[in-house]
Amino acid sequence: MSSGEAWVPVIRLCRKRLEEIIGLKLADEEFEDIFFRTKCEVSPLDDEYIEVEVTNDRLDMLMSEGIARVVRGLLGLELGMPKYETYDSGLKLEVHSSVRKVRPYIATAVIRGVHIDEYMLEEIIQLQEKIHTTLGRGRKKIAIGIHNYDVIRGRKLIYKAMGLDEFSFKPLYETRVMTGREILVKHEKGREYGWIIRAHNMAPVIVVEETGDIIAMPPIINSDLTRVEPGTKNLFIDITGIDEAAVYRALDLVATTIAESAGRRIGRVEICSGQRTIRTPLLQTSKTVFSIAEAERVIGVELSPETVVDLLLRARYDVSISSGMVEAEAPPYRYDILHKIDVIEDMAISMGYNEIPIELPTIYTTGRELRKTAFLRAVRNLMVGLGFQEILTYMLSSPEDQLEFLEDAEGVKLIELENPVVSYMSCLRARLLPIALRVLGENQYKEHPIKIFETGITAFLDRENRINYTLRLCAGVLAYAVSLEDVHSPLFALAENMGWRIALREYKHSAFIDGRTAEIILNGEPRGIIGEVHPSILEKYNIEYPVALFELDLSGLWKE
Amino acid sequence: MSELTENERKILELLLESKRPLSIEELTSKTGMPHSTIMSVIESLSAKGMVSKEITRKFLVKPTSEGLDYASRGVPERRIALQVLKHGGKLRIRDLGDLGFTENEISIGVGWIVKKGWGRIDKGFIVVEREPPRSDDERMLEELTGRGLLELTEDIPQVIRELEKRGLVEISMRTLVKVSASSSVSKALLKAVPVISKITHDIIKRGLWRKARLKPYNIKALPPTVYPGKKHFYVEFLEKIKSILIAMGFREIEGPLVESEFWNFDVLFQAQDHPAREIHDTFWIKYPRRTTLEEEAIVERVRRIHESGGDTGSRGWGYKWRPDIATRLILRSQTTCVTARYLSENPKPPVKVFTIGKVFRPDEIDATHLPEFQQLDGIIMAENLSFKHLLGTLAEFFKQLGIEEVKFKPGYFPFTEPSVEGYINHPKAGWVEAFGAGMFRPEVLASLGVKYPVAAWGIGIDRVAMLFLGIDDIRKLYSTNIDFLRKTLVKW
Repeated sequence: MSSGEAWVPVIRLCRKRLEEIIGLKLADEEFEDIFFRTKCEVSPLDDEYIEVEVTNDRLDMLMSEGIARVVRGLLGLELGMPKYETYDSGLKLEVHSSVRKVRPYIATAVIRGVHIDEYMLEEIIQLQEKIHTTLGRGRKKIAIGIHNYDVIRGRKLIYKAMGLDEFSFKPLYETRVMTGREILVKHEKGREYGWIIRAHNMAPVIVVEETGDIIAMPPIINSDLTRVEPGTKNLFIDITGIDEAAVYRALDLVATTIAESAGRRIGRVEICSGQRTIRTPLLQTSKTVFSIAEAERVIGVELSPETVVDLLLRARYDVSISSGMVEAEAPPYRYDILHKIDVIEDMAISMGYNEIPIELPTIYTTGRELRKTAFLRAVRNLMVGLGFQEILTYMLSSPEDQLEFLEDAEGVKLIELENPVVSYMSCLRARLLPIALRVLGENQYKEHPIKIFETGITAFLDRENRINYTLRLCAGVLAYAVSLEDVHSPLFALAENMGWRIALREYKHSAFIDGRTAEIILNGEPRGIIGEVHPSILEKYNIEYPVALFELDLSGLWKE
Repeated sequence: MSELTENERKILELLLESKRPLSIEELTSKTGMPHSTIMSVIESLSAKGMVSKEITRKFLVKPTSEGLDYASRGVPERRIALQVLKHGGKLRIRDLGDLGFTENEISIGVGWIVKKGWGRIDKGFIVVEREPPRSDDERMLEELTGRGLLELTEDIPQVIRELEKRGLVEISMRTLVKVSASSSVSKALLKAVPVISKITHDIIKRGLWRKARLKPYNIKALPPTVYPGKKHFYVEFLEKIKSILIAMGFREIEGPLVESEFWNFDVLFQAQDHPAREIHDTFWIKYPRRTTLEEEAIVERVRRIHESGGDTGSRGWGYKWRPDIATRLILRSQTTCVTARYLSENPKPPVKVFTIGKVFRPDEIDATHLPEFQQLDGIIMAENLSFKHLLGTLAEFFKQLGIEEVKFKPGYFPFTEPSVEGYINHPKAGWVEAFGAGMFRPEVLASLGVKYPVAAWGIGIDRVAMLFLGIDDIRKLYSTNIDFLRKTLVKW
């Protein structure tokens, strides 16, 4: 149960700054406790910094300001939905129709009076990067630009697409002016993100109408002109993208989070796109309606209306209740709420998972293992009784090893991976034999005799390219002197005790010695191979001792 | 003159017959005695001055799989150096990742570039000025992979020691013992009146024991070693886990290793553009690349739920759902797809099932990661089932494993809400994260056609096994070192 885990964003924060924003100095234990109640995982990095793992649904916690917003609620320091005051920034942005095919959507905001220091700058850059890799899907879906507002000398901006050779500007942290084409070809960010817009031979840019300054080439890079530095006081934020709803929601998230340190005041920008005019950020709240009974059923505890109100206020919702129905209004940064179940989860989190009285379900069911498990246990018991050590190996194998033991006549093809990590684990095993031989070889200088067996699933494509799974048993012996008997007798003992009819039939196989190999016929069907491994194969595997092996297909010898 | 036992006599006879010294292995095969018996007989003969031993040591040097990989693709320092040269002799170290180098390769490669004097680090950049000469270790690695195995009788050269330190070669030592009879031993000696050490059928039947002395055993000496056939310790641990779940009323189920993205992701409400679905995080099958989805009704429901939430009251993901992504074949990245399939076929309550099986992810191999590992997934579906029942079931499961304290922390999984991560207090390791769990989201239930609540949980069972078995490296769970397996204690 970990489908999202591979992409968990991790950030680095100054603990002192975080505590200042929360408004409390916390002892280590309290600090740990309160974070244990959130979705964040915190671990100290050094005296100053902590590392915070943020879950993909709560990207509003990618900055101290956002974390504090949650923690202050849980601690009861501040209740209900944070309110953001908006004002008209006086700035207008015109969306030119030329961007429609390249990168159609944009939303922007102005935040005044932020007073950025080194720590906050680091956090803003981090927020931006993490949103790019998660919500932004590598900047393709949405990308964020953050600018020093004070150097934008104009009241009107234009968002348009221009030919790559038609514009040039000095990219962020560069010393020289580059054309759009140069940025795509030569600049690090251009090479990394150019693919997002390359198909069009055009690039979207944000231009200040009065001065002609290009301040950004989304989603690639900003201009050095509007570089944000410690001491910057006022910010202009742009978000561009290909998914309109995502652009608005991301701006709500970024603007409200940064505005936490600017008195929760946000300047709106008038965006004109053809006939349509909107003012961004939209700051959309969302309302969810559900009954108290529903929440009780999900969590499994009784809830009074007063408790419901308290839990939701601490989860930063505004709440009203009438005749058992709850209406919860979530703040604009909660883009993650898809369903009322998400609100109910927030109630459980407010309550504290460890405060929920746990219970075992009282339903009656009978437990039962797969018949396969019981069958395999019987086979394994016999093999162990016959003196063989059980081994457990990987299902991913080396195609080269596998092909050594697959004869063309068998009509078996390997299931190979498009993107293996290492070549010796680049296909699913079709046979256990090659693995057993490797293991015997690895152990050839240990005390003899080496007797091993393994049972396990193998997979391959048949002649019709259908995926086949078989359950197999393989056993092998290596010693100073080995004969077929060393595996022949155990095989027959196994078959007799399991009640299988067994016989051997003459067979030729390139990996085994002619005349010392046979096909295993079980209950009238060919089901495997037994033999002494050919010395030429032993040489190839650097094995200096003789080896005898058998492999048997056990599929269908039991019924579920 | 000391008395000879049967075994001593037999071996002396062989040595006298042979014109040359015999190895222990030759003696084993000629006498049929176990290796350990031969060794103790030789010891006793040698103490009596009747045989002399000649001991030679042999070192066997073999490339490891990593060594083979380096030999075929080049050592990371060379590959990185060549890339740097290709980019004009200077590259930002953190950009190496974009050129396809893993973090591991970057740290090893850059370190060696500096160590070997091929280049230097300059403010986060790696600088290489000319193509590095072939180093001794590269030459040696190449020679080794060509020959597969190198036998050394003298001391091991430094360059091989270095390769061993880097984990690119394995060195094993073999001691060869050859034995010959001392010149003082004559055939006449063998004819002396026997002392019987081992009583046989013949000795009893013919009454020979009456004329001989029965030699007492040295009960202080260690007996010959025997190794029992043994079940694998990790398979046994998994059997124990299964038996706990069965006792708790769960049924075992299983499912295919190769899955469609549809069952692995879409059914579980994982957005189609979620980064975990990209090629870096999921193994794709080379051929066939796609499958057909037979379950038309479910596919249609999933499409609507992803696009707009369908009739679940959810907002959905708000995009156009693409069947070409859903039909792609992958190795399953979790086993929740197994329980999900089962629910879609068994939508009537109550259901309590679990599955243990391999899952696959393209992770680099190290002490805590493997590209394949075992996962345990369980679900309960019942009327009036709540989050508290899920927590109670998990606490009970770990109690059966001997864990008294479990803590619950909010978590996030795309397919459950509420979601929880569980920590267990292990007597030795302390608090450790042990599972993920939650109630299936309404979007998932509706996709599967289930009308009752479902509690679900997943455990990376390899990690739990390491904790309980006291193993510090995940690779040891799949160790094929026979000595390790022979010495592992049986747990019960």
